[in-house]
Amino acid sequence: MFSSWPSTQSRLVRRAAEGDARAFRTLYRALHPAVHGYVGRRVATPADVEDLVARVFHRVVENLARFDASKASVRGWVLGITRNAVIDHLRTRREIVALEDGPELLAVVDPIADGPDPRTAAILAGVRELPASTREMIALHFADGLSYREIAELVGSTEAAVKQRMARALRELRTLVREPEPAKGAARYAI
Amino acid sequence: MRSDLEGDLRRALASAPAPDTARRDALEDELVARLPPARARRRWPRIALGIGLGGALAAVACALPSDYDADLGHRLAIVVAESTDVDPRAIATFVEERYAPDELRMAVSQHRTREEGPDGSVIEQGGELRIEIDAVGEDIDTDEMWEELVDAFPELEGGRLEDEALRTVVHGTLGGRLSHAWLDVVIDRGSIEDAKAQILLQLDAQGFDGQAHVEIVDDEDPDGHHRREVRVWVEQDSHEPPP
Repeated sequence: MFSSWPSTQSRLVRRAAEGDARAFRTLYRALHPAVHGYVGRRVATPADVEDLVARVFHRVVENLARFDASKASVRGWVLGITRNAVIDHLRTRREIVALEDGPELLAVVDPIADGPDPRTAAILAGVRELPASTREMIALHFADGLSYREIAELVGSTEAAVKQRMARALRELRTLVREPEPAKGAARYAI
Repeated sequence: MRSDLEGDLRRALASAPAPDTARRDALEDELVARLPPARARRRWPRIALGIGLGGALAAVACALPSDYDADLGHRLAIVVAESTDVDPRAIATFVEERYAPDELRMAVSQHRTREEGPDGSVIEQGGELRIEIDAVGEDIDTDEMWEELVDAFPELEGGRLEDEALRTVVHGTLGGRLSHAWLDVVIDRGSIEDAKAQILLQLDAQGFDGQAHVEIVDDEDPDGHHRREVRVWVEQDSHEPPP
């Protein structure tokens, strides 16, 4: 049976921790897009994005020997470091007015400010109405491409809880877009 | 099946700025310079065995003389632009026929990036296609292999071949028999003493210098499957018990 990609990455981490440059380069090239994408969707300034990505990977190198494959996938581990770095950065830079907690900072990824069409605008308005922690899950799944299991690892929940929360959120959003809000910027919240 | 809503969410949320490639590449070199000094790899004698499948399970643990090769094969990754029209099966068949590995396994994966276009639309960029091949068996000159692959499959030109040594391998056959290429020993349920004798003879033939010990223990794993553990160790001046 072919080794799955995650276990290959675990092996690469172990070898990188032993100083194997080739293993590290392979790992870095595989993970850089995910880390850069995660940061790029949440931090406004390109220079800050690059600095943060660098900071994340320096932390990865510092902690290679501590990675525990039984606790997280490699991608989950690295995105956990990334998430913490972004939270710290946003809190420090106050790029978002509401700075109560991590989920609030990371909740909505909304590069298309008003949406190119009414349906997308309605979907994004509906997403904004969701609880902060759910909004973060929506972002992690649809923006960053994480599985429910990876999301659970990252936010400290269970896969079942993430699945349930996402199912409920998607049901609400589906109801919403079948009945689009006619007034601009407002979202009718169907129960 | 993905719904329209899920597709719309992906399109609306997933765009991200493209990375600064110069910065990305410079960071890579910076990070590599921070890695600890490469540890001298433990060199396993070529009698390290993998774990068998099915009803019979055998594992070999070896203490280590210092000067025997450890490589059991190669994990190769052919990486090309996603848009490249390649036939992974044909490539795997080529490797199998050309190099005749004892085992060959393949996996294909895609890695894409998304970015926002000048008009705000989401542009999905073709990323990379990775064809990973585990080739177990004889040592392969990967530089030569890459040249031959590009000759045979010109569409691979512009791609790259990544190579990682395989350290362990999984072998398994039905019927409770495990055979090992390096020792050429068949360890069957009914021939423990014969297997011990064969292993000792082959260790001697391979030039192991010292006192060799072989221990074969039958047991059950937690799932109730029969498990056979074969422990081999060689004592030299500095005795090192098996892990």
